[in-house]
Amino acid sequence: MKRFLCTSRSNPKVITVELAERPEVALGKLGGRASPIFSAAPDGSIELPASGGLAFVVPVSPQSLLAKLLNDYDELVAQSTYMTHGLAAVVLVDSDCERLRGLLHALDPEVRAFELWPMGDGAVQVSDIEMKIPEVSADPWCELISDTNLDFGMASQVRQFNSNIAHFSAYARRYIPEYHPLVEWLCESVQLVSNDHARLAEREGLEDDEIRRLIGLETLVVELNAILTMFTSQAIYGALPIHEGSYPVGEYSLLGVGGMARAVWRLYAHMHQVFTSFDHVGRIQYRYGGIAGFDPYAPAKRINYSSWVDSQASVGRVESAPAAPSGRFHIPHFSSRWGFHESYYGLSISWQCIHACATKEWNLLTFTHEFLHSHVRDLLGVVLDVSDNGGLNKIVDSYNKHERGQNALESMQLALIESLVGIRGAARLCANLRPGQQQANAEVPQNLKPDDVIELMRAHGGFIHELMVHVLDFLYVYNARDERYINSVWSSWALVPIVNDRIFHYVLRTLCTLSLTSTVESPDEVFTDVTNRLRRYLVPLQGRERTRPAIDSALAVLADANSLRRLDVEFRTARYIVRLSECFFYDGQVNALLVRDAGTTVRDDQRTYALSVGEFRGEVIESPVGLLLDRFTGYRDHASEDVEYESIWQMLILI
Amino acid sequence: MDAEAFERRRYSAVMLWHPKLMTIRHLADATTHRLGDSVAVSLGHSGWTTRRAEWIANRSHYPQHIVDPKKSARSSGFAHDFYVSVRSEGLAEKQPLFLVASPYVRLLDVLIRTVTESLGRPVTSFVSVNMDEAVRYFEHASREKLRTKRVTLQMLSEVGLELVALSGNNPLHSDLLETLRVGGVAAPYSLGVDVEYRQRTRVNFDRHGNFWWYLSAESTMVNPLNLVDRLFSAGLLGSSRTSPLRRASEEELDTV
Repeated sequence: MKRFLCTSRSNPKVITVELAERPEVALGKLGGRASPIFSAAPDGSIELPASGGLAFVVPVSPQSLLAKLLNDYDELVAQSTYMTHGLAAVVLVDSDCERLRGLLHALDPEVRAFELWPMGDGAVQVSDIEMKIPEVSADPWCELISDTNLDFGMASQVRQFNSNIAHFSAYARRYIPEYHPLVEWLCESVQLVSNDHARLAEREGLEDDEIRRLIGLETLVVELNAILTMFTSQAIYGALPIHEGSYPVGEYSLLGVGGMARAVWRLYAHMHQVFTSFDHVGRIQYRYGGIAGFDPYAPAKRINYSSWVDSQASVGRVESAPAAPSGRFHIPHFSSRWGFHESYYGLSISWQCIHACATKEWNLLTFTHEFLHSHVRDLLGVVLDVSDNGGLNKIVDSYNKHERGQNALESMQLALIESLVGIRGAARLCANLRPGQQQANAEVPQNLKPDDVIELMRAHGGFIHELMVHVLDFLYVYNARDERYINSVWSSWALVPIVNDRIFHYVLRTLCTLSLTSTVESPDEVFTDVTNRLRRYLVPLQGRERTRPAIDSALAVLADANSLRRLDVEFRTARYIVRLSECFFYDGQVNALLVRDAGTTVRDDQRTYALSVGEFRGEVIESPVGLLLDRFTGYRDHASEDVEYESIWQMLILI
Repeated sequence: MDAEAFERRRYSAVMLWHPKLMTIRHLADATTHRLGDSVAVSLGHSGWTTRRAEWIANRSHYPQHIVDPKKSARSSGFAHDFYVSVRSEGLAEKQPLFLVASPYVRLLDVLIRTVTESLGRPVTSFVSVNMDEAVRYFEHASREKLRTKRVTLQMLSEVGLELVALSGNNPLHSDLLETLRVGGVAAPYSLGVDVEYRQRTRVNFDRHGNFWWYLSAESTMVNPLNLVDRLFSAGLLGSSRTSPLRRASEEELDTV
């Protein structure tokens, strides 16, 4: 059951508390605030005694505390336990305030903080409010970054960052200490950016690209401050004292959404920890130069990729880098403007996930795709780190001579050029294809120049990047399961207008990804196989109550002979990058660590937690990714009121 | 049921405890009297008290060629043998541990659900097994009376592959297992241990606390009980709020 807990303050010394089905009336009152609360027990009701006690509890671990309350105490306690989206993820009520105090005392190890409102006739005297606020060390989590020797623009951004991070840290140290590594890294990062900016700015006679770099560095910190501001309000609003302040989103204005921010951080931190521990970027950076090269041209005609299988240059087989990886961080936050989006400092999640993450359309597995964008960007960054023209000239010259490269790094650079050339060739061929035409020609350049390669990267580098992300997402997160992958990705894409405008491109990406698990041999058979599989799992999506144009458009493309011909041409060349990603950038051990969880069993040949909605076992979910994948099949298609309970429950069991 | 009619059959078991459960009589009461008359089973094992009880179901689940439904008919239904063993020392202080075993997982599940619903909150606790540590323990444990003959692994990085079983004379010392462990691409899921305190019984258990074995003679119940004792003394048992049967894998579920 869901109700809004509403407060108003016509008298500054008195808070009126009531339950309502909708928050608007309460929000319109003086000092009006509201937040939804849910009965923790699936079959529970929500009642607020006129007198007694109302406790807002910030748990160390919401799932552990809720497991205790729902299982280890009597029925009265279980029925008086409610969940919220806020930092104070648990609300307890009791008609006997003293008994409530006793319960809070007994739960002490599980309770990081609480605020207790003794109530009489639906009102709370502010002077009677009791709080437990955790004591923490006064030591800051990071030092201030100096703004001296910086120009005015950059200095003001650094000062703003210092203020933002100090403000966030003051609350995080008390309520959400798990963010400590993020704060440390952000400070180090801004310090590096600031140092680079200072070094560049003090030089005279800057070239155009140096000026662009200078602006770019300042823009980075501008972006960071914007993200940090939004993130701080989401993460820390709802800290004590709850009876003061207000979160700016009306329907969460009383308690905020800090609990949901913690859940998303848990998901992110898990992926971050796994990928950082394997440090594929470091392995490539430090070891690829000393590993024997492979033949980038061996899969002639894009058919036989067997020479790449079990290559010594596969990241899983490469020795670790000498230095322990530190790993870069992102700030995961909710955004109604950007939806799911990745940038240098931020990973945004659609705001709708707060109330509807237990639906196919707003499922959190889309977040893993954005995470992998950052991973792929770092991989490509270290492979393509050809920082001077001499290096670029050399590799282009090797390509023109059809050389295979003296080591794995050179081979990989040549392979990426080869993939770019192939993709461009296919695109030109398709552009020349006419309906019904049996043959078409496209000019293939004999020799590339360095500027050609730069232009190829601009034109097609994004597509390569996307394909690599899809490959790794399909293998690492979806365990190469067609139905869940197609359902998840297309449910999410169907909400984005641009997908329908570029439907051919999105269909192609999916077909390329599915080819990873084709068991047939010839290119013709592979293409037929993947189009059949995509069609099979898209058709059911057409039957949804809320139809989306992109699904119909995708099926129309798959039914049109001319479109299929074009797709086939581009598909065959794009498979090169798909197989390259699988053979060299996929690591089975990462997969193992990402999904490892002793709480799972195997049913219907699939891994499952066998969890019922509303069940709190008090067991740590070792793999948030594994849990989301398990839950996906049972999600409703669309957001509606009755998915809110499952959505909040799913978020809280992650923490 | 006559001992002569008793045949080799696969028994499934779980272990549980609850503040209101101190004796088998309490357990019987919690089943709303569907667990009927019981008789003591002498196993010559101190520390455990074992009784064979009758679980009354609406129909007879026994194959008719083994048990004539007329013989198992009772006034309120059909009787099925259950074993209930109580260990005086459990995981919780002053709380005995109950092992409940039945040849039929469905009946066992019904019993567990009936008991947990009847007992209410605080919820019933169940035993689980730390399987990573159990594998290490049995790898180095004395092979007298206990020999691991089968280890099942959950594969974590294979497309289309979930459970892999290694069985033989000494699977815990196989090169393949070592490779999988070093790679970290598999996690131990269950073990099958030949226990020979009286005759020999292959007792299997998974990390969720499901136990299963073939009971050739009633006296061999002493074997799974002794195995539990070993797991207990090695500190390999933990507690869970979830019935192990909720997480029994397909290979363990009885289809009868």
